[in-house]
Amino acid sequence: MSRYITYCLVALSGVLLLLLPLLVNPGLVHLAGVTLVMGVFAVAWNLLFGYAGLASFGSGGLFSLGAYVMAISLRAGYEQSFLLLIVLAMVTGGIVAFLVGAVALRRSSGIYLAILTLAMAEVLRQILMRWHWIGAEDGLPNIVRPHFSYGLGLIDLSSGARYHVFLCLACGLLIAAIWWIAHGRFGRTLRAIRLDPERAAFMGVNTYGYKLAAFTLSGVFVAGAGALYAPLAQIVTPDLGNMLRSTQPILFTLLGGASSFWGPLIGGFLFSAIEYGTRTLVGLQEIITGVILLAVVLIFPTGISGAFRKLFASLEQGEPAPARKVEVSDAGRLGKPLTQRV
Amino acid sequence: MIISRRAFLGTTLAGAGTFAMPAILRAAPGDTVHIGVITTLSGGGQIYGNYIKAGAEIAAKRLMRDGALGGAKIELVVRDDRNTPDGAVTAFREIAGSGVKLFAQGNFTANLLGTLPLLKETGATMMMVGPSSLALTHEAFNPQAFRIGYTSPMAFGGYGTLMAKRFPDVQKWAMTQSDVTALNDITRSFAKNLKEEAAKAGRTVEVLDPVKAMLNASDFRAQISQIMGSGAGALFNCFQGADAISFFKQARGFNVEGSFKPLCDSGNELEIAKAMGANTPASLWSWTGWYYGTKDSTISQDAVALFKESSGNDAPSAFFGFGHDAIVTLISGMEKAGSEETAALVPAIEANAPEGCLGKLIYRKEDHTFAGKLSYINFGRDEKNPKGWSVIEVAQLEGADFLEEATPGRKLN
Repeated sequence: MSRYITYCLVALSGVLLLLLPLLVNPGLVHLAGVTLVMGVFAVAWNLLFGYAGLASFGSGGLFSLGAYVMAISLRAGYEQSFLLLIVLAMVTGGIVAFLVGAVALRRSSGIYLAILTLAMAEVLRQILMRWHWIGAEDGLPNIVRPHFSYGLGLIDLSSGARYHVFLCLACGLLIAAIWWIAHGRFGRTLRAIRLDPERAAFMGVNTYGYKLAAFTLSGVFVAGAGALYAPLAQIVTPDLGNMLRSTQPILFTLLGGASSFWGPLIGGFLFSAIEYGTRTLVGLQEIITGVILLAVVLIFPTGISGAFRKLFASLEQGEPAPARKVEVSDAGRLGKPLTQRV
Repeated sequence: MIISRRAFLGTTLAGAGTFAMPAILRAAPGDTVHIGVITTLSGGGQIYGNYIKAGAEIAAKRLMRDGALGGAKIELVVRDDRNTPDGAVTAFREIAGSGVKLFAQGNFTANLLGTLPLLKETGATMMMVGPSSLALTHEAFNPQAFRIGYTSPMAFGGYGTLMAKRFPDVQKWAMTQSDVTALNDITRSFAKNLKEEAAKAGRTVEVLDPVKAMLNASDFRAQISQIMGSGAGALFNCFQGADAISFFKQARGFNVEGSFKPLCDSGNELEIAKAMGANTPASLWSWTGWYYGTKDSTISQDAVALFKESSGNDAPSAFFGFGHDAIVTLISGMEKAGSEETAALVPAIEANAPEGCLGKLIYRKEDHTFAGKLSYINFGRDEKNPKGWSVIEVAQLEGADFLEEATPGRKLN
C-alpha cells in the first residue's frame, strides 16, 4: 500500500509544483525551480552513492559544465535548438564523466575517489575562473530564456512562470529516466556490486564496467540538471562548480534518506523550506538551520523518507516494519526484482 | 455661512495645488515607501554586507527624522543573498513580487549580474552598492541601475596621479599583487596614470611589473626580498584583506617602511591600522571609498554619530557610506520625480545631485557610473593615540576627471 501512497504523493507534488506560479510569489517560484534542479542533481548523484556505493565529491564540476554548455550556446543565439542543447550538455557531461571515471575508478575508491573527484572539479573551476572568453570570475550573465518552434507552434519560455512549467516537465522526465535505470536490471546490478563486489565479480559481473557506466550516467543527468539551471538563473559563474555545490546533493541525500530513490528530492525541498522560513532571521539563520538538520539526522537516521516508510509500515501492519532487506544471494539472480519498499 | 469670493478662490487654489502636487510629496506620515536591500549577510562577504545594511538603515532613519517624502515611513526589506546569484535572484523576485520597485544591492558583481536582467520585467530601479567591476556600467549596462562606488580606473588611476604629484622625486616604483585577474586592473590603472602624470611634468617614472603571490598566501618573504632588491624608491601594494595584514607584518622585519617612501596600499583602507595597531607603518597611504572621520561632511558626521549610538562602533568602513548614499539617491530622486516608477525616477536621479556621506552624489548620464569625489587617506603609527595609530591626512580629487570612457552596452577596450 505504501507504494501507492508514494505514487500518489509524487503525483500530488508534481501537480502542486506545476501550479505554483498561480499560487505563490515569484520569489518562491524561482526558489522551487532551483530546488527542483538541485533535486535532480541530488537524485543523479545518489545513483552513484545509494546504488553503486561510489562517493563523488566533484559532481558540482559536471553540473557547472552542463550549465556553461547551455549558457554559451544560448548566448551564441542557438535558442532555436534549445532541446538539442540540453541533449548536447548531457552528452558533454557524459563524455567528461566517462574520461574522469575511466581514470579515477581504476586507481581509487572510497575516500580517495571522493578527494580525486573533488580535485578534478576544482581544476575545472580554476580553468573557468581564468578563461576570459567565458567571463572569467564574473561568469556569463544575461542568458536568455528561449523561445523556439518545433513544428507545433512557437514555444515561448521567456517568462518566469512558463519556464517554471517547462522545468517541471523536463525535471520530471529526467527523474523518470533515472527511476527507470535505478529500478531496472542495471540498478539491481549496481546494488549487488555495492553490497558485495567480490561476489558480484565472481558471478561474472564486470564491476569496473558497471561502476564506470554508473559514473557516466550520473554525469549525464547532473550535466542535464546544469543545462536546465542556466536559463533559470540567467547567469552562470565558476562558483557553480565549487565544493559547496558539490556537497549540496550529499546534504540533501543524507537529509532525505540515501536508501530511498525519492530521498534526495525530499531532502532538497525540506532544506529549501527551512532556509526560506528562516530567511528574515539574519545572523540566526545558519544556527537554526544547523540545529534543525542535526535534530533530523539524529532522530531519523534513515532520513525523512526512512521515517515515512516506518510510519506507513506501522499504519499498515500495526507495528514498525523491519529495515529494508536485500539478500546477498540476490546478486545471483540479477534479472529478477528485489523486494523493496521504495 | 457666507463664503467670500476671495476665500473661495483661495481655498480652491490651495486644494487644486495640493492635488496637483506629485502624490509622493503629499505622503501622509502613515504612508510607507519600501526599499529592497539585498546584500551578503552570511559567510565571508558579510564584512561588506553588514556595513551596507547598517548604512542603509541609518540613511532611512535620518531621512525619516528630517521629514523626507512628506513624512512618509521608509521601510527597508533586507535579505541575505548568501553571496550567490541564486540567492540574490530569489530575494529580488520575492521582494519585487510584493510590489517593491526600489532596490539597493551590493557589493558582489556576479550577484548583481544575476539580478540586473530582472529590472526590466519588474519595472524596478536599482542602486548597485559598492561594486568595482567595469562590466556593470559597460557591457552589462542596464539603464535602470546606478553604481554607487568606484571602478578601478577611476579610484586607482586617480591614486597614481595623486602619488605622481605628491612625490615627484621618486623615479622607480615597485608593485606587489595577488595573482588574481580582478586585481590586474588596479595595478595597471595605477601605473598608467602615475607615468602619464609624471610625463606631463617632463619626468620619466619607471613602474616595475607587480611581484605576485598566490591569493591567500601566508608567507611573503620571497616577494619582500624581491622588491627590496629592486632598487625602487616607492611601493604600491595590491595584496588585499588578510594577505595584506600578513604582508605588512612580515615587511616589518625587512624595514620596508624605511626603504619605500611613499608606502602605498591599494584599498584596504584603515583595516591595516586596525589590525596592526601600534605596529602600523609610520606612514601608509590607501584609497578609501569614504572616510568615516571626514570633517567636510556634516551628513557623514551625523550618520556616524547615529551608527555609534546604535552599535557602539564609530569607525565603519566605506561600504557604510555606500549603503547610506544608495538610499539617499533613491529617496531624493523620488522627491524630484514625484514617483517611484522607473520612467520618472531614472531621469530624476540622472539630473539630481543630492548631498550624501560621499559628498555630491553625481552619476554620469551615459552609463550611470558614480562621478563623485575620490578620497585617499594617509595614516600611520602614533604612540600618543591609545589605538596606536592615527589619520595624518585625507586628500580628495574630483572623480569625474578620472572616469573611464563611457561605453554603455559595450565592453571597454
